[in-house]
Amino acid sequence: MKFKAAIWQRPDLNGARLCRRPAAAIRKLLRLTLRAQPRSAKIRIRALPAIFNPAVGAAIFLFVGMNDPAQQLPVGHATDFTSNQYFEPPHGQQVKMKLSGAEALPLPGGLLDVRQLRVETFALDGKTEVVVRAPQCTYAPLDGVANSAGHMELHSGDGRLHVEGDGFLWRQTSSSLTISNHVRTLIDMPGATMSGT
Amino acid sequence: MNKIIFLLMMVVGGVVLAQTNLPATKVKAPAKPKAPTEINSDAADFHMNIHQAIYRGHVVVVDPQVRMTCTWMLVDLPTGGDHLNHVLAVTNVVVDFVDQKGQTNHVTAAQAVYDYKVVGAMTNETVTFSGNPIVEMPTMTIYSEPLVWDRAANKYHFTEPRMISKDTGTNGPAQKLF
Repeated sequence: MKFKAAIWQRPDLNGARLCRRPAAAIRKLLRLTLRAQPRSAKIRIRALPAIFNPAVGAAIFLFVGMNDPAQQLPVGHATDFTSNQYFEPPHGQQVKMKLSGAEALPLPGGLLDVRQLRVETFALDGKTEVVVRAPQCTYAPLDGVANSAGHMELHSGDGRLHVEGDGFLWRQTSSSLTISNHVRTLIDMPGATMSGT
Repeated sequence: MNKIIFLLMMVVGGVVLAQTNLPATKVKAPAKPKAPTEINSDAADFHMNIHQAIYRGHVVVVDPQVRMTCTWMLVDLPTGGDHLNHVLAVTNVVVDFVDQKGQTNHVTAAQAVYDYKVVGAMTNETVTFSGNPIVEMPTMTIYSEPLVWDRAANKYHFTEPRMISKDTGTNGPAQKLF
Protein backbone atom coordinates (compact mmCIF):
# COMPACT_ATOMS: atom_id res chain seq x y z
CA MET A 1 0.00 0.00 0.00
CA LYS A 2 1.51 3.28 -1.07
CA PHE A 3 0.17 6.73 -0.89
CA LYS A 4 2.72 8.45 -3.01
CA ALA A 5 0.52 8.62 -6.06
CA ALA A 6 -1.14 11.96 -6.43
CA ILE A 7 -4.84 11.75 -6.97
CA TRP A 8 -5.05 14.94 -8.92
CA GLN A 9 -2.54 15.97 -11.50
CA ARG A 10 -1.50 19.57 -11.24
CA PRO A 11 -2.23 21.33 -14.47
CA ASP A 12 0.64 22.47 -16.56
CA LEU A 13 0.29 26.21 -16.73
CA ASN A 14 3.55 26.93 -18.45
CA GLY A 15 1.78 28.20 -21.49
CA ALA A 16 -0.34 30.57 -19.46
CA ARG A 17 2.58 31.86 -17.48
CA LEU A 18 4.50 32.73 -20.57
CA CYS A 19 1.68 34.82 -21.85
CA ARG A 20 1.19 38.35 -20.62
CA ARG A 21 -2.55 38.14 -21.12
CA PRO A 22 -4.07 35.16 -19.28
CA ALA A 23 -7.29 35.33 -21.27
CA ALA A 24 -5.35 34.99 -24.47
CA ALA A 25 -3.48 32.04 -23.04
CA ILE A 26 -6.72 30.31 -22.13
CA ARG A 27 -8.11 30.90 -25.61
CA LYS A 28 -4.93 29.40 -26.99
CA LEU A 29 -5.35 26.38 -24.73
CA LEU A 30 -8.92 26.01 -25.88
CA ARG A 31 -7.87 25.97 -29.48
CA LEU A 32 -5.47 23.19 -28.61
CA THR A 33 -8.26 21.38 -26.79
CA LEU A 34 -10.56 21.47 -29.72
CA ARG A 35 -7.89 20.00 -31.91
CA ALA A 36 -7.37 17.04 -29.59
CA GLN A 37 -8.78 13.79 -30.88
CA PRO A 38 -10.63 11.71 -28.27
CA ARG A 39 -9.74 8.04 -28.30
CA SER A 40 -12.46 6.52 -26.19
CA ALA A 41 -16.21 6.66 -26.45
CA LYS A 42 -16.66 6.42 -22.70
CA ILE A 43 -17.31 10.13 -22.36
CA ARG A 44 -20.63 11.39 -23.52
CA ILE A 45 -20.78 15.09 -24.05
CA ARG A 46 -24.22 16.54 -23.70
CA ALA A 47 -23.54 20.13 -24.53
CA LEU A 48 -20.68 22.37 -25.39
CA PRO A 49 -21.50 25.71 -23.81
CA ALA A 50 -18.18 25.87 -22.03
CA ILE A 51 -16.18 26.30 -25.15
CA PHE A 52 -17.64 29.78 -25.38
CA ASN A 53 -16.52 30.55 -21.85
CA PRO A 54 -12.74 30.54 -21.88
CA ALA A 55 -12.33 30.18 -18.13
CA VAL A 56 -14.71 27.26 -17.73
CA GLY A 57 -13.56 25.61 -20.87
CA ALA A 58 -9.97 25.80 -19.79
CA ALA A 59 -10.87 24.52 -16.37
CA ILE A 60 -12.56 21.46 -17.74
CA PHE A 61 -9.71 20.93 -20.09
CA LEU A 62 -7.23 21.10 -17.26
CA PHE A 63 -9.41 19.00 -15.01
CA VAL A 64 -9.23 15.95 -17.15
CA GLY A 65 -5.50 16.11 -17.43
CA MET A 66 -3.92 18.63 -19.69
CA ASN A 67 -0.56 16.99 -19.16
CA ASP A 68 -1.58 13.99 -21.15
CA PRO A 69 -2.94 14.82 -24.56
CA ALA A 70 -4.09 11.22 -24.93
CA GLN A 71 -6.71 11.71 -22.25
CA GLN A 72 -10.35 12.37 -22.88
CA LEU A 73 -11.48 15.93 -22.75
CA PRO A 74 -15.05 16.43 -21.63
CA VAL A 75 -16.13 19.94 -22.32
CA GLY A 76 -19.20 21.40 -20.69
CA HIS A 77 -21.65 19.13 -18.90
CA ALA A 78 -20.20 15.63 -18.91
CA THR A 79 -21.88 12.47 -17.65
CA ASP A 80 -20.45 9.06 -16.82
CA PHE A 81 -17.00 10.25 -17.62
CA THR A 82 -13.74 8.44 -17.10
CA SER A 83 -10.30 9.86 -17.41
CA ASN A 84 -7.03 8.00 -17.17
CA GLN A 85 -3.70 9.43 -16.23
CA TYR A 86 -0.63 7.45 -17.25
CA PHE A 87 2.80 7.02 -15.73
CA GLU A 88 5.75 8.86 -17.15
CA PRO A 89 7.85 7.03 -19.76
CA PRO A 90 9.01 4.31 -19.97
CA HIS A 91 5.76 3.17 -18.31
CA GLY A 92 3.59 5.41 -20.41
CA GLN A 93 1.16 2.61 -21.27
CA GLN A 94 0.24 1.93 -17.65
CA VAL A 95 -2.56 3.74 -15.91
CA LYS A 96 -1.47 5.70 -12.85
CA MET A 97 -4.81 7.19 -11.92
CA LYS A 98 -8.33 6.61 -13.07
CA LEU A 99 -10.81 9.33 -12.32
CA SER A 100 -14.48 8.81 -12.94
CA GLY A 101 -17.70 10.48 -12.07
CA ALA A 102 -21.37 10.35 -12.82
CA GLU A 103 -21.55 14.01 -13.67
CA ALA A 104 -19.36 17.11 -13.94
CA LEU A 105 -20.94 20.52 -14.02
CA PRO A 106 -19.04 23.72 -14.65
CA LEU A 107 -19.34 26.33 -11.91
CA PRO A 108 -18.46 30.03 -11.91
CA GLY A 109 -14.84 30.83 -11.30
CA GLY A 110 -13.52 27.87 -13.20
CA LEU A 111 -14.73 25.34 -10.65
CA LEU A 112 -16.30 22.00 -11.32
CA ASP A 113 -19.08 20.30 -9.43
CA VAL A 114 -18.32 16.59 -9.62
CA ARG A 115 -20.91 13.98 -8.61
CA GLN A 116 -20.18 10.39 -7.58
CA LEU A 117 -16.48 10.96 -7.74
CA ARG A 118 -14.28 7.88 -7.78
CA VAL A 119 -10.51 8.09 -7.96
CA GLU A 120 -8.33 5.02 -8.19
CA THR A 121 -4.56 5.10 -8.09
CA PHE A 122 -2.44 2.24 -9.29
CA ALA A 123 1.08 0.98 -8.70
CA LEU A 124 3.40 0.18 -11.55
CA ASP A 125 2.46 -3.48 -11.32
CA GLY A 126 -1.16 -2.58 -11.91
CA LYS A 127 -2.32 -3.19 -8.36
CA THR A 128 -4.81 -0.75 -6.92
CA GLU A 129 -3.21 1.45 -4.28
CA VAL A 130 -6.01 3.70 -3.11
CA VAL A 131 -9.65 4.20 -3.98
CA VAL A 132 -11.34 7.45 -2.98
CA ARG A 133 -15.08 7.92 -3.26
CA ALA A 134 -17.19 10.98 -2.61
CA PRO A 135 -20.80 11.60 -3.61
CA GLN A 136 -20.01 15.19 -4.43
CA CYS A 137 -17.04 17.53 -4.51
CA THR A 138 -16.01 20.88 -5.89
CA TYR A 139 -12.77 20.89 -7.79
CA ALA A 140 -10.63 23.90 -8.58
CA PRO A 141 -8.36 22.71 -11.37
CA LEU A 142 -6.20 25.80 -11.46
CA ASP A 143 -5.44 25.58 -7.76
CA GLY A 144 -5.33 21.81 -7.65
CA VAL A 145 -7.77 21.74 -4.75
CA ALA A 146 -10.87 19.64 -4.23
CA ASN A 147 -13.24 19.99 -1.33
CA SER A 148 -16.63 18.96 -0.11
CA ALA A 149 -18.76 19.27 2.98
CA GLY A 150 -20.13 15.82 2.35
CA HIS A 151 -19.05 12.33 3.16
CA MET A 152 -15.97 10.70 1.73
CA GLU A 153 -14.35 7.29 1.90
CA LEU A 154 -10.86 6.08 1.20
CA HIS A 155 -9.60 2.55 1.23
CA SER A 156 -6.37 0.95 0.25
CA GLY A 157 -6.16 -1.60 -2.51
CA ASP A 158 -5.20 -4.38 -0.12
CA GLY A 159 -8.19 -3.60 2.06
CA ARG A 160 -6.09 -3.06 5.17
CA LEU A 161 -6.83 0.62 5.53
CA HIS A 162 -10.21 2.26 5.48
CA VAL A 163 -10.85 5.93 6.21
CA GLU A 164 -14.10 7.83 6.17
CA GLY A 165 -15.34 11.18 7.38
CA ASP A 166 -17.41 14.21 6.63
CA GLY A 167 -16.01 17.25 4.90
CA PHE A 168 -12.66 17.09 3.18
CA LEU A 169 -10.04 19.17 1.48
CA TRP A 170 -7.59 17.67 -0.95
CA ARG A 171 -4.45 19.61 -1.85
CA GLN A 172 -2.96 18.24 -4.97
CA THR A 173 0.42 19.93 -4.71
CA SER A 174 1.24 18.43 -1.35
CA SER A 175 -0.81 15.25 -1.82
CA SER A 176 -2.49 15.91 1.46
CA LEU A 177 -6.02 15.18 2.52
CA THR A 178 -7.73 16.89 5.44
CA ILE A 179 -10.94 15.44 6.81
CA SER A 180 -12.79 17.90 9.00
CA ASN A 181 -15.32 15.89 10.95
CA HIS A 182 -16.12 12.45 12.29
CA VAL A 183 -12.96 10.78 11.08
CA ARG A 184 -12.99 7.01 11.39
CA THR A 185 -10.00 4.88 10.44
CA LEU A 186 -9.76 1.10 10.44
CA ILE A 187 -6.32 -0.44 10.18
CA ASP A 188 -6.07 -4.18 9.77
CA MET A 189 -2.61 -5.10 10.94
CA PRO A 190 -1.18 -8.42 9.80
CA GLY A 191 0.47 -10.56 12.42
CA ALA A 192 -0.32 -8.24 15.28
CA THR A 193 0.78 -9.70 18.57
CA MET A 194 -1.78 -10.75 21.07
CA SER A 195 0.49 -9.68 23.87
CA GLY A 196 -0.36 -7.02 26.31
CA THR A 197 -3.38 -8.79 27.58
CA MET B 1 -39.79 -64.03 -3.54
CA ASN B 2 -41.61 -61.61 -1.29
CA LYS B 3 -39.34 -62.60 1.55
CA ILE B 4 -36.27 -61.90 -0.56
CA ILE B 5 -37.59 -58.47 -1.53
CA PHE B 6 -38.48 -57.76 2.08
CA LEU B 7 -35.01 -58.79 3.25
CA LEU B 8 -33.38 -56.70 0.55
CA MET B 9 -35.43 -53.69 1.59
CA MET B 10 -34.49 -54.23 5.20
CA VAL B 11 -30.81 -54.44 4.32
CA VAL B 12 -30.93 -51.35 2.11
CA GLY B 13 -32.99 -49.47 4.71
CA GLY B 14 -30.57 -50.47 7.42
CA VAL B 15 -27.62 -49.22 5.42
CA VAL B 16 -29.39 -45.93 4.79
CA LEU B 17 -30.27 -45.58 8.44
CA ALA B 18 -26.75 -46.47 9.44
CA GLN B 19 -25.45 -43.77 7.15
CA THR B 20 -27.83 -41.17 8.49
CA ASN B 21 -26.83 -42.06 12.02
CA LEU B 22 -23.15 -41.58 11.32
CA PRO B 23 -21.62 -39.32 13.94
CA ALA B 24 -21.04 -35.82 12.67
CA THR B 25 -17.41 -35.23 11.87
CA LYS B 26 -15.83 -32.62 14.02
CA VAL B 27 -15.32 -29.46 12.00
CA LYS B 28 -12.60 -27.26 13.25
CA ALA B 29 -13.96 -23.80 13.91
CA PRO B 30 -12.18 -21.26 11.78
CA ALA B 31 -9.83 -18.98 13.61
CA LYS B 32 -11.57 -15.81 14.66
CA PRO B 33 -10.19 -12.95 12.63
CA LYS B 34 -8.51 -10.30 14.68
CA ALA B 35 -10.54 -7.15 14.84
CA PRO B 36 -8.88 -4.18 13.15
CA THR B 37 -7.56 -1.22 15.05
CA GLU B 38 -10.07 1.60 14.98
CA ILE B 39 -9.15 5.26 15.29
CA ASN B 40 -11.76 7.94 15.72
CA SER B 41 -11.12 11.65 15.93
CA ASP B 42 -12.65 15.03 15.26
CA ALA B 43 -10.36 15.77 12.33
CA ALA B 44 -7.38 14.31 10.55
CA ASP B 45 -4.68 15.15 8.03
CA PHE B 46 -3.30 12.49 5.72
CA HIS B 47 0.02 13.22 4.08
CA MET B 48 0.16 10.69 1.30
CA ASN B 49 3.71 11.43 0.19
CA ILE B 50 5.19 10.54 3.55
CA HIS B 51 2.57 7.97 4.55
CA GLN B 52 1.63 9.85 7.66
CA ALA B 53 -1.65 10.62 9.36
CA ILE B 54 -2.27 13.21 12.06
CA TYR B 55 -5.41 12.91 14.13
CA ARG B 56 -6.70 15.94 16.00
CA GLY B 57 -9.28 16.31 18.73
CA HIS B 58 -10.87 13.62 20.89
CA VAL B 59 -8.70 10.88 19.48
CA VAL B 60 -9.84 7.41 20.49
CA VAL B 61 -7.93 4.28 19.53
CA VAL B 62 -9.64 0.97 20.08
CA ASP B 63 -7.50 -2.09 19.67
CA PRO B 64 -8.55 -5.65 20.57
CA GLN B 65 -6.33 -5.38 23.64
CA VAL B 66 -6.03 -1.69 24.36
CA ARG B 67 -8.08 1.45 24.44
CA MET B 68 -6.30 4.79 24.22
CA THR B 69 -7.46 8.37 24.19
CA CYS B 70 -5.47 11.53 23.59
CA THR B 71 -5.78 14.95 22.00
CA TRP B 72 -3.33 14.66 19.13
CA MET B 73 -1.80 11.64 17.47
CA LEU B 74 0.64 11.01 14.65
CA VAL B 75 0.62 7.65 12.90
CA ASP B 76 3.14 6.40 10.38
CA LEU B 77 0.79 4.51 8.12
CA PRO B 78 1.93 1.01 7.24
CA THR B 79 2.83 0.39 3.64
CA GLY B 80 2.85 -2.80 1.64
CA GLY B 81 0.98 -4.77 4.29
CA ASP B 82 3.50 -4.00 6.98
CA HIS B 83 2.70 -3.73 10.66
CA LEU B 84 1.94 -0.36 12.16
CA ASN B 85 5.35 0.65 13.47
CA HIS B 86 5.24 4.13 14.96
CA VAL B 87 2.62 6.16 16.78
CA LEU B 88 3.07 9.36 18.77
CA ALA B 89 0.24 10.36 21.08
CA VAL B 90 0.37 13.73 22.78
CA THR B 91 -1.63 15.52 25.50
CA ASN B 92 -3.89 13.83 28.02
CA VAL B 93 -2.86 10.34 27.01
CA VAL B 94 -4.91 7.66 28.71
CA VAL B 95 -4.37 3.95 28.08
CA ASP B 96 -6.52 1.18 29.49
CA PHE B 97 -5.94 -2.52 29.13
CA VAL B 98 -6.32 -5.78 31.01
CA ASP B 99 -3.08 -7.62 31.72
CA GLN B 100 -2.42 -11.36 31.72
CA LYS B 101 -3.44 -11.62 35.36
CA GLY B 102 -6.78 -10.10 34.52
CA GLN B 103 -5.94 -6.84 36.28
CA THR B 104 -7.01 -3.57 34.83
CA ASN B 105 -4.19 -1.18 34.03
CA HIS B 106 -4.91 2.51 33.71
CA VAL B 107 -1.97 4.55 32.44
CA THR B 108 -1.92 8.32 32.13
CA ALA B 109 0.85 10.49 30.71
CA ALA B 110 1.46 13.60 28.68
CA GLN B 111 2.99 11.64 25.83
CA ALA B 112 3.17 8.07 24.58
CA VAL B 113 5.28 6.63 21.81
CA TYR B 114 4.47 3.26 20.29
CA ASP B 115 7.25 1.49 18.40
CA TYR B 116 7.12 -1.85 16.65
CA LYS B 117 10.27 -3.31 15.22
CA VAL B 118 11.32 -6.78 14.15
CA VAL B 119 15.06 -7.43 14.40
CA GLY B 120 15.93 -10.91 13.25
CA ALA B 121 13.69 -13.26 15.20
CA MET B 122 13.05 -10.68 17.90
CA THR B 123 9.95 -8.53 17.97
CA ASN B 124 10.22 -5.31 19.90
CA GLU B 125 6.89 -3.75 20.66
CA THR B 126 7.01 -1.00 23.24
CA VAL B 127 5.04 1.97 24.43
CA THR B 128 7.13 4.63 26.14
CA PHE B 129 5.19 7.02 28.36
CA SER B 130 6.65 10.33 29.47
CA GLY B 131 5.37 13.48 31.09
CA ASN B 132 4.43 12.34 34.58
CA PRO B 133 3.35 8.80 33.71
CA ILE B 134 1.24 6.97 36.25
CA VAL B 135 0.07 3.37 36.22
CA GLU B 136 -2.95 2.57 38.31
CA MET B 137 -3.67 -1.06 39.06
CA PRO B 138 -6.23 -2.48 41.48
CA THR B 139 -3.62 -2.95 44.18
CA MET B 140 -1.14 -0.17 43.58
CA THR B 141 -0.25 3.01 41.82
CA ILE B 142 3.19 3.40 40.27
CA TYR B 143 4.99 6.54 39.21
CA SER B 144 7.97 6.36 36.88
CA GLU B 145 9.64 8.74 34.47
CA PRO B 146 9.84 7.40 31.83
CA LEU B 147 7.64 4.36 31.91
CA VAL B 148 8.14 1.70 29.27
CA TRP B 149 5.48 -0.89 28.60
CA ASP B 150 7.06 -3.82 26.78
CA ARG B 151 4.11 -5.31 24.98
CA ALA B 152 6.12 -8.15 23.48
CA ALA B 153 7.28 -9.33 26.91
CA ASN B 154 4.25 -8.15 28.86
CA LYS B 155 6.37 -6.15 31.25
CA TYR B 156 6.78 -2.65 32.55
CA HIS B 157 10.24 -1.15 32.74
CA PHE B 158 10.47 1.51 35.41
CA THR B 159 13.07 4.14 36.08
CA GLU B 160 13.29 4.97 39.77
CA PRO B 161 9.70 4.01 40.36
CA ARG B 162 7.62 5.13 43.27
CA MET B 163 4.86 2.84 44.34
CA ILE B 164 1.83 3.49 46.47
CA SER B 165 0.07 0.40 47.68
CA LYS B 166 -3.66 0.82 47.75
CA ASP B 167 -3.99 -1.72 50.58
CA THR B 168 -2.06 0.32 53.14
CA GLY B 169 -2.18 3.67 51.53
CA THR B 170 1.45 4.21 52.50
CA ASN B 171 4.07 5.67 50.29
CA GLY B 172 6.57 2.87 50.09
CA PRO B 173 10.18 3.10 49.05
CA ALA B 174 11.30 2.54 45.52
CA GLN B 175 10.92 -1.11 44.67
CA LYS B 176 12.03 -3.35 41.87
CA LEU B 177 8.69 -4.55 40.68
CA PHE B 178 9.43 -6.63 37.64
